[in-house]
Amino acid sequence: MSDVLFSTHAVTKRYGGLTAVSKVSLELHPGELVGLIGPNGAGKTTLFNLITGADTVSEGTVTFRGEDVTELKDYERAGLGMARTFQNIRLWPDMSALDNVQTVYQGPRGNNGFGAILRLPGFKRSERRIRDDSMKLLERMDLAEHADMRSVDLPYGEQRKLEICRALALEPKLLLLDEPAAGMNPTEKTDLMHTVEQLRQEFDLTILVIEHDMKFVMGICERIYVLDHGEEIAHGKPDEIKQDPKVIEAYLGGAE
Amino acid sequence: MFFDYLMNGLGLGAIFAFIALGYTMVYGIIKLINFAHGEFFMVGAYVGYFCLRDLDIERVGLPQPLPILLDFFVALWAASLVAGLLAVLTERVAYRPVRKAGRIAALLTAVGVSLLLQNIAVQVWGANPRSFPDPRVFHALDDLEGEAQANYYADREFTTTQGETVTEAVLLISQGDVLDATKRASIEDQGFDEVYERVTLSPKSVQYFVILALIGWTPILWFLVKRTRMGKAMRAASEDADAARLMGININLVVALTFFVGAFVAGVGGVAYIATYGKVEPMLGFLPGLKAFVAAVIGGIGSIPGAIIGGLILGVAEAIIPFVLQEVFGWEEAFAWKDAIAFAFLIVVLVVKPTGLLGKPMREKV
Repeated sequence: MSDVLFSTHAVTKRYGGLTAVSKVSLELHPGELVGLIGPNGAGKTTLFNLITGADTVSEGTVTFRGEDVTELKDYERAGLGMARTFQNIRLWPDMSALDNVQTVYQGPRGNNGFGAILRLPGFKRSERRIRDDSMKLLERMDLAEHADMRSVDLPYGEQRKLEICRALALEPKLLLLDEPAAGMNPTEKTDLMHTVEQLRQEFDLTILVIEHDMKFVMGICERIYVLDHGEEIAHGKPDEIKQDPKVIEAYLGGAE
Repeated sequence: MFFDYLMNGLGLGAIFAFIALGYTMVYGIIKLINFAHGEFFMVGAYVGYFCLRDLDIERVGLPQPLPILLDFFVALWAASLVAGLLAVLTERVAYRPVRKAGRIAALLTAVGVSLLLQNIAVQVWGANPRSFPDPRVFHALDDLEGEAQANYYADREFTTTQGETVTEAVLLISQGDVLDATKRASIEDQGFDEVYERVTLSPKSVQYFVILALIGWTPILWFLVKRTRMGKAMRAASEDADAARLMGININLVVALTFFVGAFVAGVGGVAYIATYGKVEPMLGFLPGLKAFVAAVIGGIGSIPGAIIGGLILGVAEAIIPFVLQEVFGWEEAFAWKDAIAFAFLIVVLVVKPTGLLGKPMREKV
């Protein structure tokens, strides 16, 4: 039990008659970098929503850090150290890059209220610490020079990086990346690949990543889960996945 | 003359601004036009009224003008706190359950809550307007020597036909009268043991007060929204609530606090309103509430500086435009038309600048 950081057990999501995710069981060990792939509409993002609590499961359980979190609210799960990025960027557009990060930092440090106004010295100190730590994160992702820019004004690739930055501000144990390389050019993708690998070491992260770019997924993931029509059709090391006939069929289309 | 109207307008505008802030903050965060917001203002006004009427801090015997300031200090805090708590309760009981049901459901709920609160106020406090009692400062009878410096009153209790016990102030000595032995004896004969000097707080001084209060509150709100953690969480929630939740922000708490702060400042407006216009009634929240909403729209709904500027502009327009129409164009009835003028003004602003003065254009997803 202790060597499993995160798992889902037979998680199912039905919307009316449509089963978007069907009996999917994942298991992530601390420090792993795992890929989640599948054709469009396979239910990957829905699964992310079920994991993070953005959506409720119809059946099954989600376990995180040895605790059943199925009934927990999304922000409570985030508080336990589960952070994500989004397929379509969901930064707070009119807030500066720095504020995007700072706003999240305050969460895990607790003390998230108006009491802050009254305790001025302590408030200022912790405020400075949050600011410093946020700047460090921005520097780490080479975004420091853009700290005061509105996030919507950042170039696209930088916005993607800022989303990762913001997720890291939650001080997460588990980081869920939803197509982090989408829309990036090949050089940016390679850079991002290295960054993700390095971040895992530096921040002691366990990472689950959805990505369409096979080079990206095959390049950094230790294990891969493949979803199709909401079901897990394969699971294993990148080399095994490449050869798996079911995966090839799902991607290239079988004789139906 | 013109300056007086300008001050009237600014005083009224500051009250609009205090109410508009709540509309705009709540709209900014959950895109709800909270029609019950005017009722939070009305309840705040009633609480302020009861404080000013019944507190009688004057009886403690502090030197002037401390008692009157203390009276207002307590009335403001009480009005703001009660309005704030009522808003939190309303949000919890009525708005949160329908938040996911769409904006029309939430809007109709808000209209329902507005009518509900008005009718509760009618049942609890009666439908008749009550006039705002002047603040009083008590003096012992012995203190009166020679020529009276102000008007001096005494309390007299009597029972109305409806069985209500009312305290009426009886004028004993008006300003400039000489308190001689005969007069003193006649007062004692009437059984009055406490005589007080009535300090009339002129609407003009209230106007200065409310404008100053707005100037004082603006940086506090700015600090709250721009600098505090809760403020950042509010902005995050208003820009993308789902993302905020997934980043560990408790939206319910943020929304509750937004309602609280919005109604809290509306309470300030409520006390300022009764002190300026001298009466409270259960329907008090309707027209000022509606106009404050107009002010928020003129300023650009969702924008806090917009609410303040919109409030002041509407207040000044409501005072100055009829004044100009009457004095310059000789239209005698201009002041009777001031509400129509205020709403016509809204239409003009929206035609010229549909997002309001400081509103952001809606971002369209491409």
